[in-house]
Amino acid sequence: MSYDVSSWFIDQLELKHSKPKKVFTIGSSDYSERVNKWPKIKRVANRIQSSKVTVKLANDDGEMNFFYDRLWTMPNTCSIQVGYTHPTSGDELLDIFSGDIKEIVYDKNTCNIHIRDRLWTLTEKKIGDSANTVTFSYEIPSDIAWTLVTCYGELSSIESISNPHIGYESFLLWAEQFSTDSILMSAEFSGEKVSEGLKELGGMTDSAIWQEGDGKLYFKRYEAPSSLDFTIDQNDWTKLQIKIDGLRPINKSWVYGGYDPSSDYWAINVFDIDTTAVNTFGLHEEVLKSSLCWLVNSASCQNLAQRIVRNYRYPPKRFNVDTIVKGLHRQIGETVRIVDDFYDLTSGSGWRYDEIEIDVQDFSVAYSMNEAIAGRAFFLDISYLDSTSGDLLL
Amino acid sequence: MPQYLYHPSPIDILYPGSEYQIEGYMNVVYGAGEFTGELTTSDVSSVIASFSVFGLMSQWIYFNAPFSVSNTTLDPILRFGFDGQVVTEVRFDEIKLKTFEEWREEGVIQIYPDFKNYARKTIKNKSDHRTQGGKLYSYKWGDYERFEIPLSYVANSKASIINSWWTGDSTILLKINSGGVWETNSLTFVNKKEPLSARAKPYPEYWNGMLELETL
Repeated sequence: MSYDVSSWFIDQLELKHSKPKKVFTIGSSDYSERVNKWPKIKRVANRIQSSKVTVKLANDDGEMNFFYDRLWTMPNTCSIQVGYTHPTSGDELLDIFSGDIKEIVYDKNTCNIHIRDRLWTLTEKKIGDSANTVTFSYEIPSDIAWTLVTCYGELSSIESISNPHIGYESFLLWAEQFSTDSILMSAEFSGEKVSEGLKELGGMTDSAIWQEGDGKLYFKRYEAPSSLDFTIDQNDWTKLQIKIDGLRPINKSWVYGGYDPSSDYWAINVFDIDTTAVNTFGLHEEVLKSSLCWLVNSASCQNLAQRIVRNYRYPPKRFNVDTIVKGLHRQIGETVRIVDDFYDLTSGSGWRYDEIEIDVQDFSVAYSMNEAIAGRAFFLDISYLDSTSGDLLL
Repeated sequence: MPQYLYHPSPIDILYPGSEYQIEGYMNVVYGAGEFTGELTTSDVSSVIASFSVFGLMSQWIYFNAPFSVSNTTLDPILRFGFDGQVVTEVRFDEIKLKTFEEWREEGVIQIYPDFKNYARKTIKNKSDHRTQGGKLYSYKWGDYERFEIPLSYVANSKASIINSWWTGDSTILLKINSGGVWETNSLTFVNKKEPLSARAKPYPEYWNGMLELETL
């Protein structure tokens, strides 16, 4: 899914000459005119990690000293938006970062505001304690995640798209996958932080959890795409780097489940292996084992082991692409075509991006795409097939 | 015998007890040298005030002199005396005679920039990206005007006022008259150091420098 923007906005993103607009607000006050340097905003979904952003504001006149003079003004939410001014309907702006002020540094007539996204707040809240453990038994992983972030993380529990803290539509799609595959988990927490609980849960379900520019948490478990969302060709990118990581393949995956906290014992121990990949690249093993949250049946463990080996058995190709802002309205996890003559990348090549860095100062975007999470998509280009006999043979 | 150049006095009556300031610009066409400026009674029998100004060829030199009178004086006369060998020809501009308070409060300074190195630029604030395929994407954030105004032989009093505006980060209203048309710009100093800080050799009371002004 992508952000809901007008077709006019999308056209503006692709113009060769345009006058974009940047807005920085603290609470409801606009401080855009004071920004000396706009930040780079990085979002990652391949690991659960909070984003930190620093905005430097001019303070030669001392007008920003109110944080120093009145400490109670510091707890506040900031947002960064970019967009364009429509000639008749006014500004159309896209939220690209939202977070809370965590630190302020006054230095050389500038006021540097350090902002953290909502994932950071989950590092400051814990789940139960040693005297009052919190347990979950045979539940869908998404239900456990919902309880963690709403009851213990104190995010909104509104179960609709109006939830201001959670991308509810993405959450429902994520939950549906676990229901379809009948994946159940148990968990026990005794004072761990909510962020750690999410991290373990994400690892044991091979899921991505991140905060988008609108300040909401999103959830995704990658499956093979049925179509590709947008194309980046040589007229869009300024820099392309392909990295093949021979250290990262996983061709044998162990998954432990059925944990008993009282005896500290995992009753289920399964693995999956791709012998061909082992023979070609050597044995690369990974062990998924958690005493905080675990799968409760062999089928779920085997499903996860197979998924890991299927996606990561070969050294994954990673594409790092610097581009214009063409896909600024897209969200992490969307699929993209890359076209390049030198590397023979054609419109049949599809990837997902799991990292994005937006340079607000320079107005450019850098995507990091992972072949592994594209679901090993294979797109058949029938123009290469022999159709002289009238039959299309595979 | 000095040559005298007479200029219409810009004031009809002077009162005792008030402090006055006479100021203006002069540009010597022929006969550079020291001039003596005098304000006399209407019958040229008494000199009310005198000052000296060193005129330079083809340079607009600012002069000013505070003075006061002991008697009420009607229709004073302004004249400049030159004791050189050649016949002199001088141009004057913006001769003003006012009370000292008016001059101090008005905050207006007239300058005559040098033509060489005088610059006016429009600067665009933008980000450019050239893609692999050769397409250029250019994003414009805004633009502003920059003025670079070289000045030379600026008198002490005027230079100190300009430098004080720089110190105080004052908003400068720059009015440019070109071809009879006035153009106004609201600017601020962006000089890293005092704009008029180099002495104009060999005159200790004159200064050279460059005003760097940009729109707010």
